[in-house]
Amino acid sequence: MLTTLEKVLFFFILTGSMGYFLWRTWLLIRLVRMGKRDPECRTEHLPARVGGMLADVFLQRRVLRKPVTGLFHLLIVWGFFVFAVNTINHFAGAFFPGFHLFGETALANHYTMLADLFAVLILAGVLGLAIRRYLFRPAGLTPRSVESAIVFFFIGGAMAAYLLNNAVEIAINTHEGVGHHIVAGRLAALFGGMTEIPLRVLGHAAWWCDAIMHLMLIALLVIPTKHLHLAAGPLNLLFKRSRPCAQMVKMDLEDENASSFGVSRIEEFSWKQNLDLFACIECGRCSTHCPTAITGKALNPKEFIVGLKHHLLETGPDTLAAQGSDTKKDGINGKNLIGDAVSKDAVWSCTTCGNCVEHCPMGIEHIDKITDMRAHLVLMQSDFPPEASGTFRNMETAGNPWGFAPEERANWAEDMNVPVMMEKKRADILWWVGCSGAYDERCKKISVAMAKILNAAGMDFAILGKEERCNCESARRLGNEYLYQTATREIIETLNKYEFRRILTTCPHCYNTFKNEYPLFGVDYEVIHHSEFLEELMAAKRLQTVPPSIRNTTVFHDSCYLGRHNGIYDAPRKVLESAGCALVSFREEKKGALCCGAGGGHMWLDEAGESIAGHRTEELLSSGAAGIAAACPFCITMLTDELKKSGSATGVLDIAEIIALHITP
Amino acid sequence: MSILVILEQRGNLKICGLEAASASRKVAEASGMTLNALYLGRAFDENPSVLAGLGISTLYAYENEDLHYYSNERYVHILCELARELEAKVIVCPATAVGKELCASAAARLQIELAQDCVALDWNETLKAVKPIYAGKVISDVSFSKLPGLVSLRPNTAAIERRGEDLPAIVRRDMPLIPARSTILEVAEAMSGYVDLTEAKIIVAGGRGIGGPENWPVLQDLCEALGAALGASRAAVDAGWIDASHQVGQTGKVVCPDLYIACGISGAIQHLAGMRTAKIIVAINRDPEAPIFQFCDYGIVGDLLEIVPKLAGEIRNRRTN
Repeated sequence: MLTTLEKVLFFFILTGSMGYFLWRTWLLIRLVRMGKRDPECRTEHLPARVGGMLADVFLQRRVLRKPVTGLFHLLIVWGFFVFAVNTINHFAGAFFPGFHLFGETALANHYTMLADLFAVLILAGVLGLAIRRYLFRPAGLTPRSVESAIVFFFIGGAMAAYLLNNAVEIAINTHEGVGHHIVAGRLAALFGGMTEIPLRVLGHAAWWCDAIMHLMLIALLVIPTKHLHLAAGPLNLLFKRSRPCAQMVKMDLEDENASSFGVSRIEEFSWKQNLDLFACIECGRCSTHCPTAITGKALNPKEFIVGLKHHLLETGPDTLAAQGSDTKKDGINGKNLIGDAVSKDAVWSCTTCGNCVEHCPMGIEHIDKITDMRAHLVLMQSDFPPEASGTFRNMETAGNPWGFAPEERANWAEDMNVPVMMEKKRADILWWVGCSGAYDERCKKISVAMAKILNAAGMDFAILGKEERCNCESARRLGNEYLYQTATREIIETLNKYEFRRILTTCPHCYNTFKNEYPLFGVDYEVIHHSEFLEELMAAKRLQTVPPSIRNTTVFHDSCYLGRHNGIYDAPRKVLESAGCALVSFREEKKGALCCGAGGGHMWLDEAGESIAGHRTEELLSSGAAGIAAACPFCITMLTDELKKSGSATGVLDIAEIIALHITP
Repeated sequence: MSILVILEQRGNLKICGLEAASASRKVAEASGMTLNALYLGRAFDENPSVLAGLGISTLYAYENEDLHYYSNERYVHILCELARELEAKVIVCPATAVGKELCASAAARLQIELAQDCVALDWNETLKAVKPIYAGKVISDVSFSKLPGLVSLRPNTAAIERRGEDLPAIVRRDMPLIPARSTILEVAEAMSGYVDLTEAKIIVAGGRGIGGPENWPVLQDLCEALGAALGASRAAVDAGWIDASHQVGQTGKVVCPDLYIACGISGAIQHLAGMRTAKIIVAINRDPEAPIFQFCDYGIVGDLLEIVPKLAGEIRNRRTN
């Protein structure tokens, strides 16, 4: 029904838009590919990846974690797929009137009904989300987004235009399309009173609105606005990380061709890290769950990712251009990655708890970017919080973070019937006590309890004693990869001297590094955390326990490196139940549990602003339990300090201590 | 053939110089060489008895206003000149910031072997020294292949040994003409009267147990009685009771006093990391289960607000009597 002039005009607009789209898409692809090789092979197990991605896209699994918001979004997503056919029909219909992809079949008829229905549902979805965003103003959605308003306008507008266009055409009987418009057909009645010429004009105007709005939506994808998540999101989910979240990449520090370690420029990110930035929809779920963001520190994960995205868009094209030539690319446009795009304080604030990664619907990996930048600051610039320098030195020279004498490492075990590997040479279990368990007065009690349990259960075990040295896991999170690798080499040499079936540890950080990171150094140890080990013991009835006379209500604090990073939630709970504790459940537990604030090396640093541990302690106390249980020496230290500070009578015990209380002598 | 030891001064003679003299005497006796000493400063007006019985044969005192503050050009020039004059086979200097720089420059100028920051000296046909390397992980035995040789000796490693009352002869000289290219215009000294925590020999520290900032005077009184510096645990700093410059601990200052009195401090490991090398630790705490009691040399379970004033009073009594 378009005039020849309109057809010509539309032809040019369409080809121009397509050209713009292709040109910008090519730039975005180049910006992603500017990144280095990713340490993980992201195309392994492709069928599973595709299946997972399709499930995430069509079933909106992650988005539906917020059920109501998720539902509105789901309507828009499904509507998008349904409308794809219509968009093709609409554009082709400019030149081939009455064009329909499904021809003149019954399918086409059904499709038209569906399209009409979804036009309304999409409008409802858009309206619902807009009300939530601009009227209710939830915490994660600050600062107010103009981009969202624009996208809402064009989506809503396109749907309205679609309905209006078809309604008018039906009203003046010029409708050439196939199918039964269940909604537009009813709307047509509204125009019964109008005369033909105004109706024709209205009809053409509506057609053009529909066409232009669709083209605008396509353009908005590639400007880009965060609407780009339509394409970048599913891709990011397709390539999502399958190796453990807290497994850091082993840097090749002996690479003679490497001029720099860690990341200080945007082009040093991997392509996946770049893709992450384009997939971000700025939903703020990362920030609302981040321990540093909610306690007012410098790091807000959403702002962090958005800052990096803007940096990539601002400086990327120039960097790409400079790559062809020999021009030096120092701080392109005078903007540095660390300092301008994101602040140094933000980089140091992170506790690597993983709540951001857990809650992100788009599979963005925030932590790696931060640890990569820290590595650069430490290894290349020696620019790190000064409090850490003493700790690094102590770890290096004394083999423990506090600088205590290495010879005293086994003093806690005196007269405790704890065998030492140096004498025993082989054992079923090599018990890695850890620095806290060996030197910290409070945590020594956990070791004592564990020793009691191991002996009561008749286990064949031994400790390394004086030969144990800090694995420097927390130094690694702070960016000191060099110290970590030195310690790793030493430890592997020590472990190679002895025969053992598996390594037992009472610390989730030690557990994580031995289990997930040591394999990258060529060893393959079976590692078990004491929560899993105790569960085994209790299930096999190797311990004689006496049920307590009073069942104390206990709340379990999920440690980040045990729970989110390694998926161990049930074992410690089963252990507590078998010890006769009345477990109390509360909202902020398991996957969404808040960090104690000590991870990411923060045990060794000063804390600015509101205390994360204080926040977490409040949450735990609000569960109403009489006692708190945990399975990590860092967590126990942080929580104990906070409870003392607040003068609370509630105590924290390690699960081993609780079991040890109930063993029959 | 002689040994030359440098006596460093910062207004007064520093103890480390006397320690170096005692360590040098050991070498002198074993090698049969004479021990001489070098002093550079405004004027050697110390009571000569400070050098009694150290075994120094002659003290060469170069006295000039321009030598009061350390000046590399002038000190190195004089040291090299004197070493050549006395045919010094061994030159010993305390390994302080000044001493280490002086040694490095002098060794280069004289083209002789140098061992810095040694903890012991000996003689067995040649000069021997014991030197910690790799941040103290290895203790190495150093042997000089040629003499003259230069060593710097770490402070607090040798004891001052006096035998008898013999005083050295003192030869006073003016500063020779030195083509120096620099002059010291001004020296800004740190606040006097402020005992720096990291250098204090005695520290009294307060933690959460003191109850509130209104109770600092109780500890400050003890500080006065002992001539001690005031420290604090992180708990007290976090609570806003005192400025962070007083914080002792892993993220605060690391101290190594002769005596550390911890009042109302539980002894969490982060605090211990900052003071564990103290020679004597006294803990006063109401909680008998406090971890610090595992760690201290003397522990008092009780209310510090009662105990500390009594302690201060008793100390004052004993000082006056």
